[in-house]
Amino acid sequence: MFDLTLEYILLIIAASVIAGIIGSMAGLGGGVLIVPFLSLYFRVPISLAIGASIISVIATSSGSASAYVRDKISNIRVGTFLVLFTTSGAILGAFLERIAPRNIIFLTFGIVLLISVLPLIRKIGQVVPENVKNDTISEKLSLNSHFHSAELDREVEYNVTGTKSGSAMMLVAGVLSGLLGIGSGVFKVIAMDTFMKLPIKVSTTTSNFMIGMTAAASAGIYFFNGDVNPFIAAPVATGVLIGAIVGSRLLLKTKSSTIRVLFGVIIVVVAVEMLLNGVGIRV
Amino acid sequence: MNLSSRVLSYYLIWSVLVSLTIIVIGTVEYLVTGSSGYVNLSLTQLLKAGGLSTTAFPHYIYTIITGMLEFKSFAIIQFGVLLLILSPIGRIFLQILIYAKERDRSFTVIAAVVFLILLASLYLSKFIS
Repeated sequence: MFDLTLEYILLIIAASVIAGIIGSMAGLGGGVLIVPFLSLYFRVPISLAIGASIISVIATSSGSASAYVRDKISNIRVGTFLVLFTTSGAILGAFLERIAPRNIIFLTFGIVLLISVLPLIRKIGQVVPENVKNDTISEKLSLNSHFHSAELDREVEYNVTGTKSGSAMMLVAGVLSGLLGIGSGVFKVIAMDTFMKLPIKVSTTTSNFMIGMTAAASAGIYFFNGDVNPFIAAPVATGVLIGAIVGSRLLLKTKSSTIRVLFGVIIVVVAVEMLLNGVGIRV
Repeated sequence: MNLSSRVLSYYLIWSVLVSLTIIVIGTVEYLVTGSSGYVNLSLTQLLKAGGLSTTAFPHYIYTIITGMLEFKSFAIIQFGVLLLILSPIGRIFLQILIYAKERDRSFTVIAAVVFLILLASLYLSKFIS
């Protein structure tokens, strides 16, 4: 009996370490991996699995952001500005939860995600987008920045465009995180990569910086509702934090094209999860 | 590296380490004593325990604090988890101070609005649930 308890805890920690590594590198919270793992393998009810996933998101964010902020890869100004929209979206999403047709939303965004893989794949091999000009908002808020690229072995300057469409997309990402509990990190990275033309590593690490705050906006609801079970949350938080710290070290040495492929694969996984949910198969 | 990102980076790593330490202490206590401090459940039941009226673990600030004072392992874990949840709110508060010190007016306002939104979400969570 006692051994089984330890075995369960170690299993959840192991799965969470993997979720933390992948999440911290791809710019998402690992909920896409944690939720199906808990609900399929351990038969954890979906509300508790989502509660654990919210903890996983915050742990990934805080665990990896410390390294990304120190190494100045994540763009804190872009992140803080966009968090305005994701957090307000998250509150809106939590309110909409009772009336929204979840199946239709799952199906719609599953399809949207599948389509959004295309521009991402087209850009494989690209480290820094070229010929990007600052738009009015990013000029005014000085959102453009630079980071040290290990693979190019030089300091890389980049501009920020499409702030308006990016912000609108962030509002949608926030609503999704409050409404569905998954997929918010994925849409953040897509918005920064496709609309705002940020380098992929800046997009994923800035998303990591942001997801913790977006999740915090809905975490209280799950926690005070009793959907955060300590027997599950403790190993998830422990494993994800370890994974995120490891992953944030790995990211610096990883090629941009590898990050892009990893992210592309994750998008397909999330899309499939959403489509399955849409047709009534809960994973 | 400038001062503000160093301060922010320190905050991030320390907030993580503190909550992680508390969670690990609670988990070790649970494993060693075999007691959650709350109603005794089988493993299968424990993995399904949750919801507003659950007696398997505390999920309000008051019950968590009183449980901690009695060294209940699940109350200790929940306290660490709650700190983890609150850490992004502390992070944005720290950013307000940093931007204000740098005399960056627009970002002081942006960070302050985000902070208020997060506080509002905590407050609203009572009504949404």
